Amino acid sequence: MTEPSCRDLFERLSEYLDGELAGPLCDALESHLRDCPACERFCATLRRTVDLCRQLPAVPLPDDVRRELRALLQPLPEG
Amino acid sequence: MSERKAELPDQILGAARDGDPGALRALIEHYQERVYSFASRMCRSREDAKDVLQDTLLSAVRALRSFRGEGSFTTWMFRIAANACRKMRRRGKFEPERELSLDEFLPQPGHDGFPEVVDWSETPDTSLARDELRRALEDAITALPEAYRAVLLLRDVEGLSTEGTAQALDLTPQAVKTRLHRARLAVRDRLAATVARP
Repeated sequence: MTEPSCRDLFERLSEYLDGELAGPLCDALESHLRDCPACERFCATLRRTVDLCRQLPAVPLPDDVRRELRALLQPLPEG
Repeated sequence: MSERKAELPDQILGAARDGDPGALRALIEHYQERVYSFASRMCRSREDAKDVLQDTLLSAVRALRSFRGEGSFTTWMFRIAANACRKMRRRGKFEPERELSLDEFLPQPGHDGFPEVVDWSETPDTSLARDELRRALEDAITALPEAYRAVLLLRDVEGLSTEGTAQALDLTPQAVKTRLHRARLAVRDRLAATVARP
């Protein structure tokens, strides 16, 4: 991945995964991924990283924090 | 571009801006966990996250009428939350900033001249593996420098668009893309190390 083409690809991978890369550059990246197993594996694991982030559950709101917030925002009526 | 997570319905937002108590309550219910979650991962402290949550929702409720609808309401809310986190930082509770360089994540050539990249994208989908990956992911996000963590949390975890993230953090869209990519690379590196561990 020290070849210029690999480094160029490396720099644009997130844009590619986000669908923000269009036209000839996107085609060139896809062609490179087909021919370079290391870059293809790197791309697959980066995609998995993004998927895991997107599925990360929210940090639960503790009950006492929720109660304090509700008290602070009074006079909103209780639901 | 629309945000990936559900927006507050316009009808509720409009009623909340007119001071309707039920709509205000719905607005708070809609955002309180997301804002707390973002603050918790930004501040890395339960107490600071609580302060940021209170500060954000109080400021938002007070300033509701100033929301002009030029961007999404979620972006507007996270802009307030990000500013509240910055205020925490100015109080000296956060570490000094550190830059992430692209080159530190370039895979190094192995003995045959080709980079050795392990493919862990198809890890077993068991609950144990999921829990371990989730813990490793939380640790990896927590370890990111703040400027990169904010971008990754808003883009990938909270689902804001590039433009929305740029508005929330006072950055250009290009700066969001650059920081997001480096943040993802850093997180990927940490996950790879966890998955490859015997």
